[in-house]
Amino acid sequence: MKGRVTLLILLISSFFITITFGLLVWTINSPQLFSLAFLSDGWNLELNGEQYNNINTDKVRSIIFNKAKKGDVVSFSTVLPDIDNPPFPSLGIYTSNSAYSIFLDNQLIGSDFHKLYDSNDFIGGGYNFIMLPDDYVGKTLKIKLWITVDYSYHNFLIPMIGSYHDLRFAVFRVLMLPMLSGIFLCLFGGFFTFVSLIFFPILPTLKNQIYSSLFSLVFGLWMLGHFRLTSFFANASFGTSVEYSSLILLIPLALLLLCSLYKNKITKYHIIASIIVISISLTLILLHVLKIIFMTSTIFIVHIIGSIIIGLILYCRFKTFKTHSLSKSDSTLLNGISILSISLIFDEILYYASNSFDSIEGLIDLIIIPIAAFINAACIISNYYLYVTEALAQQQEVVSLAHLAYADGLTNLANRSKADKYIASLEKSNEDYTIISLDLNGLKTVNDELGHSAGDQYIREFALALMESFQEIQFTARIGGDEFVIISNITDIDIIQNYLYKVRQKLELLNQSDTKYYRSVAAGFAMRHEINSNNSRDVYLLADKRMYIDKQKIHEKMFH
Amino acid sequence: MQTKKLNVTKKYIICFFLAALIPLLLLAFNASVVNTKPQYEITVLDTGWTLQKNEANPIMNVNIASPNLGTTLSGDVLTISHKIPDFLVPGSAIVFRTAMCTVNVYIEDNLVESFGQDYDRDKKIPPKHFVYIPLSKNHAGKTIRIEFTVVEDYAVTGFSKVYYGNVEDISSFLLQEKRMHMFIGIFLIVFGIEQFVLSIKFFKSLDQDISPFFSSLISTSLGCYILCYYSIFCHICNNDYLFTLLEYLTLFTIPIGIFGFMISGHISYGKKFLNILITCNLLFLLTTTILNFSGIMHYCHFITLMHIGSLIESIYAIYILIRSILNNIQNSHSLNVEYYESTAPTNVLLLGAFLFVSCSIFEIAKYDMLKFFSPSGEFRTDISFITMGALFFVICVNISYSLSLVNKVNSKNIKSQLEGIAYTDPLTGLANRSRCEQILESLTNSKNYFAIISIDLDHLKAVNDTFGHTVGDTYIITLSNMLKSTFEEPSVTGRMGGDEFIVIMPYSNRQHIKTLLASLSQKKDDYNANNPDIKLSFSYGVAYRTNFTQSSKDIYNMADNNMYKMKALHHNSNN
Repeated sequence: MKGRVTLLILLISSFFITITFGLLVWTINSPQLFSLAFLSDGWNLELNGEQYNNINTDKVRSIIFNKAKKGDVVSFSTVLPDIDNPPFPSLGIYTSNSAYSIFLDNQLIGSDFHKLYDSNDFIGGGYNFIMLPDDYVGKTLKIKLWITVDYSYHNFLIPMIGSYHDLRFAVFRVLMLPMLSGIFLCLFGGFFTFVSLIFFPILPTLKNQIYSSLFSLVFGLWMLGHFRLTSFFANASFGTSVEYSSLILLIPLALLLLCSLYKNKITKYHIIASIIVISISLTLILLHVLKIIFMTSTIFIVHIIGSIIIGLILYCRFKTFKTHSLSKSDSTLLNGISILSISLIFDEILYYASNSFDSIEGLIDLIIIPIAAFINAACIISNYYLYVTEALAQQQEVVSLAHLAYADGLTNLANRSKADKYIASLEKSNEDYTIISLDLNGLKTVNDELGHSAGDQYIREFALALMESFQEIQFTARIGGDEFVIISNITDIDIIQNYLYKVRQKLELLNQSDTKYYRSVAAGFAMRHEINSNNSRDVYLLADKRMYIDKQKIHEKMFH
Repeated sequence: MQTKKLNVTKKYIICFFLAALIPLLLLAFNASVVNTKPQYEITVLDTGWTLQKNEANPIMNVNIASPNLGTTLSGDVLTISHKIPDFLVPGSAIVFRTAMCTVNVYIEDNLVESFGQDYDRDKKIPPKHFVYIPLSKNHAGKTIRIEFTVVEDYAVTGFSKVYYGNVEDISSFLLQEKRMHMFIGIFLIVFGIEQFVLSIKFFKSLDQDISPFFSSLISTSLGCYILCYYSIFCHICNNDYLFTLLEYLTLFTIPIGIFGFMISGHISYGKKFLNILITCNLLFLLTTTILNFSGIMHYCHFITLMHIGSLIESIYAIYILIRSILNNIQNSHSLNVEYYESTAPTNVLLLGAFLFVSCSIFEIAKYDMLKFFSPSGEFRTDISFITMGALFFVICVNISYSLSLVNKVNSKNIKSQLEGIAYTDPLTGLANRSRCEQILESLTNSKNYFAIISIDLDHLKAVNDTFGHTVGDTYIITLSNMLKSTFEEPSVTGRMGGDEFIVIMPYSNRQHIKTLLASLSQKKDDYNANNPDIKLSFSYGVAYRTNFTQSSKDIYNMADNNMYKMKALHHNSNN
């Protein structure tokens, strides 16, 4: 059996390895049907009257990042190279909080977000693809950006031209890990919240799981917004608000989770502080929705509060390491949320600390947060498994206890408690049954004269004889020192008497081989159809009465 | 009690309401209002086509949604042509999907696009692919002619939708139309992988249960299959061929997963035959893979065989599942089983498998009906039932694990009840033999002085024989009540057998014990004075532990002996 199990696991593992291999092949070796060019050099930039000639995109980025302020208009241009005429030639650029216009030889070929800019509305960011006319080669491309936020373009994608689909695929390839993990985390969070909510009324301990799952759901949404993936799946206004609202919603959820994990330790002050923080977050969202102050300006408040809360989470996590004050399942959930927080810290550090856009840093950002997301999901799933293992362990305990409670220690037959229950349950069905009441003769004498061990042996021999004679019987129990009961669905008097005869025969055989003491049994039986009432207890009493009659007969026989 | 019940009901309502929000959110996300608004209009060109099969006469004004192609054989050439609109939007394109055909596209007899020829040359079957035909200004008003050359017998029975519009709009639309399936597919894949990794980690502690492995296998294959079937990969990357192969691979793996899952301990019926089925499926998968990759026969030839096989297997699987559920329900009502073990988790698992298998049967039937018997052909099929079924199944797996949690809470309650039962004598409420032996065992090993009193009820048998068991029981209970009131904590009073009692005292203050025994005798005398019918009489013996080499058994035997001495005295005095 073990070999079979290993074989199965190996087979299944090979399947998963194939799938992962396939995914890897996809990311690394996606064939590009047509050529694609990154326009990284030869840019002329103009900002606020200053001209920069022949700079590369790195310099473009740093100029915009450092010098372009809200309300400025920056434009940079270059000459388009020849790229062998791909179908649907397009330009791919990344914009952040800006309206843009694209010109080819001073002819407008694409623009967006101007309406929002004019009405001072919130403009998000994303990957934009603008179609080029067929005769683009050698013409001058000019990109004009209307900036709405200081220090935007921390991230800057090198503009690229190529076939429309190749551009899209290139973007997807880079963003594959965040996309997979963001989508997964969203649905995973929703899924687990759903299941936990259904069981919450029965199991209040699932509260922590609900908060963790909700947190994962919102975090997944934030990831989709943060990596600018929402524009591929939904319209722009839907997408950009999702990022900021989800980031802000993370704060109350984290606090809820912490309070619930540590519900024994929080004081009035904790609660008041939490309420203040939650109100601030909700106010910020409100301000954004009412267009009074946009989140891009207030985001630093969120970052500060977020850092404090992340610090709190990590502090709790390390404290619990030492004191082990949380249950295993709670601390698993805390692990998950801590890992997510650590990845967020990385992101914040990258945002504030770095001054130049390094491709390596961008890569780290692309990998760390998704991996943290997977680990968090793994924590929630293993929390589930932990519960199951505990449940199994509990089950084992119950089985052994039940055996103890319902079995007679000496003979391993059922004991009185079980017999009482069984007899009571007989009334539920309509079938006929027989109850046999058996009483060992002379047990007390054996105990008194030969000691308890002899008495125990007598009882065990008898139980064995019973089990051997009544082989297909439904239920056998020892309900007293020397009292036994058998319940069977056989209602043929001859068969019952045959069985009883067999038992007596066995005892006689034992008597002949071992003369230490004399074994005999008094027995009486009754069937359900003999009693008018449905009361199974009455059947037992009738059997008992007949057993006494038998006992007296034996008594008379022995002494006459 | 009433308010508690009310609270729970309120909780149930609130929670179900909240829980229902989540699928609603999912559905809302799928609504078309969320889609990116197209910059220009997208038109589906269904009507007004001219269709020509091989050399037959062209049929005018065909609606390619129901072309009535009949069966197509390898080498058949299907040509459809249409007029390009007179006024073209910027960046316009004509987009359609092709599968298992090589395609040539002509605009006014100029070849503008071809696809699949290199696959055909390599003896590979052209994969599923979206063809985008760029339209420039001078194409306006001209005729576009699309020529499909079928590569496999019976493979093609219809045409996909043909879209006209701005290429960005169309690409966005195609991706977002399938957004829900993409999300669910990705979720199922990653969830399956995570579950697989964790199953390995928890293998030992989960009692070597291998069903989580199979459920992760099902989850991943389902997710992969959904993504491949909806050609979602076509919108994200260029590896069409890889993913077409993956589609077949995962499809053939799904039955293996389901049957493996059913076998690994959850069903109570029909295991042997299932083993045979799994081996068959496994062999099928291996042979088709080898045949496909060695170039002999492509996967798609085996689809019909697979469908028939799956239908038969599914019907059998449903039969087994229903039998198992009924078996479980029956067992829990039968008289002789341990009824504190709820079979709900298993039943829910089986329910999930049942739902999924039913959905698959429905889908397989629908696919084949549409493909072979409907005018529109296989391009217009949809497998949303499998997506839903897959989600149901994974939900049921999780619900069943949660039900195990419920079992846990139940068993906690039952455990405390049972502990009471396990260690208490039901008639008298005193500790029973097991408990007393447990205590004696622990006392042997401890460095404590203790005393044991062995008490035996006299004439119990006579009382039972003369007056019946009920009176006998009262006799026993009377003594035990007296013992209870005399010997209080920390002493333990127990009933070792029918008429045998024991008192274990974790100290050995002889004077104190003597006093207690005297008080016990006094109680007996008082009782006998007030109840002349039955004379309560018992014998007892005391023994004390004096040094630590003595085990509790030794002390008990000493007490027993002393008790017999007193009993002999009673006998003699009676006679």
